[in-house]
Amino acid sequence: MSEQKQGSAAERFAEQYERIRTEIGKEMVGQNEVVEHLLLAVIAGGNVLLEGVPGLGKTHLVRVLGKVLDLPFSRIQFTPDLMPADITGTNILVRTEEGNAFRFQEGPLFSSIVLADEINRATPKTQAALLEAMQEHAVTVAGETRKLPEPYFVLATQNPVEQEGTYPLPEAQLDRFLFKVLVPFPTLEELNAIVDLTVKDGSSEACRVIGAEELLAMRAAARSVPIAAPVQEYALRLVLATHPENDGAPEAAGKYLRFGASPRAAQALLSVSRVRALARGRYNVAYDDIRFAAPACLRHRLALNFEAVTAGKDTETVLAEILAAVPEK
Amino acid sequence: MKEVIKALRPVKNRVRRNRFLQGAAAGLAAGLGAAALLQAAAFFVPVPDRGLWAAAAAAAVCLLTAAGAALRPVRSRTAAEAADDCGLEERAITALEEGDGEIRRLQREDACAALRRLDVKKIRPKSARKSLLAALACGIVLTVLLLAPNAQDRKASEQKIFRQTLEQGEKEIDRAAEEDEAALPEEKKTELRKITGDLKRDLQASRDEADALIALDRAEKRLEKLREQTAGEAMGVAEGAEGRTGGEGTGQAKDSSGSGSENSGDGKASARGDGQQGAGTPRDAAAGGQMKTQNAVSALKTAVNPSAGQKAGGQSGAAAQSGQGSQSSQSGDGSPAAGAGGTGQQTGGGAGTGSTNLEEKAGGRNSGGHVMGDRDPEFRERQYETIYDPERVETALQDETTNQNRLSDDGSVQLETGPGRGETNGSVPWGEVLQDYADTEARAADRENLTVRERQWVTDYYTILAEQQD
Repeated sequence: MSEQKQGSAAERFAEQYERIRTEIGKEMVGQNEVVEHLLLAVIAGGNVLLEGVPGLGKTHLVRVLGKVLDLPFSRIQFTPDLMPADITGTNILVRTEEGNAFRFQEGPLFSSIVLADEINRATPKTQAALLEAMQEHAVTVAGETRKLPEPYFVLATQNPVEQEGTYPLPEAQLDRFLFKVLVPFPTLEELNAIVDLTVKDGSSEACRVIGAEELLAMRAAARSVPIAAPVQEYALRLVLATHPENDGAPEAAGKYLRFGASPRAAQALLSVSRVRALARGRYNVAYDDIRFAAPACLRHRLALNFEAVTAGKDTETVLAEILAAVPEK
Repeated sequence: MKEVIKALRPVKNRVRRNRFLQGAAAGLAAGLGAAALLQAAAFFVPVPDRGLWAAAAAAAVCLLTAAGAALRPVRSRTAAEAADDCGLEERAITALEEGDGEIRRLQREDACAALRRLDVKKIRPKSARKSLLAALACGIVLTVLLLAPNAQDRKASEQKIFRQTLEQGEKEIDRAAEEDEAALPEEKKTELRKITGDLKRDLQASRDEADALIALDRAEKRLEKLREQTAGEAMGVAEGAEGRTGGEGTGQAKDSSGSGSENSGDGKASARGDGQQGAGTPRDAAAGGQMKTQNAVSALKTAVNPSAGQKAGGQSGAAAQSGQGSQSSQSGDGSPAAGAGGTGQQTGGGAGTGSTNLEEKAGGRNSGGHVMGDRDPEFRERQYETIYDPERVETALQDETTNQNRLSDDGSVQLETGPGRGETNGSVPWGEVLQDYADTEARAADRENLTVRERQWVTDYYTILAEQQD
């Protein structure tokens, strides 16, 4: 994309972003932070892991997102008997005029927005089938690689409650998610609003705001947002602070972590920060952007050790201590 | 980039102002600390006007620190960080980064707009709390030290008075020397200037009364010598002139001239005698009186130490009466005054000749005049320790003791030694042992806990002996 187009896309970015948010808000009550994280990830071109109890509107959110962005949406309910071919697609035998032939039947992965519901219920083999799609935006079936449509991103959900009969995602797969967003239970006011929204007649529906091309333009504009050296250094220091073997690591990291975040975390942190800066009407990344993106980028990339478990520490607490211990300058 | 740097100018000025304030706070603490240290040192070393010095030190350090902090160049990066800290969200510092492109351009414009909107008063100096607390602590300590009684204050004020006295005296000496120069030939002028120059240097280097008195004594002797030489030369010229004019005289000098009566009997003496009838003869003019510089030196001696001044007054009075002076009645140098030296020797104070310290003491004692020192040294027989190595002397000495100086019946002081009687041809190796004598006596004087003046008397005694040997 030419610089001029990037420039004009950057100038329109904040306004478009706000319109998307407003439109989603017509059908989604509350969950502002979840919506923002989702939007940031979509524009940054990453995948999101949503964690929350059932009934919080995770599926609905993804559906609304697809409507607003005018992108095809598909939902995959992961079950223990789900096979890889069920999601990638497979070759099927069809009768043609010339005779019988194999034809590739695209699976639900062939969509722009894929909602992988309860991803931790599927077997590791099926989970692995999702890996190539998430990373490469492509699917290989019977030796043939097929590109997935752009823009493409995967929103996976997992239920923190049901642990029996689940297959925890391996670290390698978790690392491929840009964010892990915790979906909180709505407040009383939000519940009131949700109930009112569902029973009222004439409740507003979200409409299309931008299409695929505009979304890609926004993504390209975000990539060119400059970051000052001290700000970038701050992001990198945050990632390094999660490594317990590091000399300068804070006490919490050394005490409670088994291992820290990978370089993908640094890439995720910076790319999301750029999007957020533009969304705020700024043409540069600030320390505040890094601080905002850090918890969602890092929480799923850390592994607690036994001492943390015995001390009753969870990832959020340890991460908060690490973030507080790293100064901006 | 240029527009960004231009937009940062008000921020830089503000940062510079803040640095000045921070520097002033730190400088205040440092200045008060330095002043407190100075006051603490003033308890061990006398410092005149210590309050003033404390204030000057505090003010100087404070100003220098503040000025140094303010004059340090403010980097654009520093100004950008200061601006970003006021809510610019890293716009300024990002704008300073190198890079081109449409987004970069938009970012710099955004940064410049934000900088123009920024109220620079929001950029506050870093907390100077620690500096101010330190300044407060130092201020309290300083106040306590200033108010506490200080035994050195008296010494400091004495030193100040001493310095002022010397300065005033130097001015008087300079004035007197200028007047004396007018009457001197060229080479004597140079000599006079050298004497006054050396005196001023010695006075400036002097640390106490003793040093000043030594310097003044030295200058006095040199001035007296100069005066004698000048008078002698003038006398020679005058005698020549009188001889040419002729005339007879009794050839007997009157006492007032203090001239050498033993040298009478020749035309010169006659002329001299004639010349003494009135004040208008060339000889009288040549004989002259004491130089104004000498008077000024004597006056300064009196100002520095009244007792030393009076002794000097006795000397100068004697010299004035004689018109000439000589170093010692014992010198036997054959100078005109020397012949009458016995007069000085015999009669003592105001005898009309220059004399040794011993003679002065004797004269002073006899005439009831003032003697050096705060108390009269006791004249007594004592056994002194051996002060020279017999092996250095080829001739073995039987008696290795000396007797102390004692007054003879006629009031003269005689020096008696062991073998030999103070003669250069005696068996006492004067040349070899005199310095040992002087050093040992100085050490003994220290042990005896004498006053400065009495020690000076000892030193002068050996100085004169050494000069006699020369």
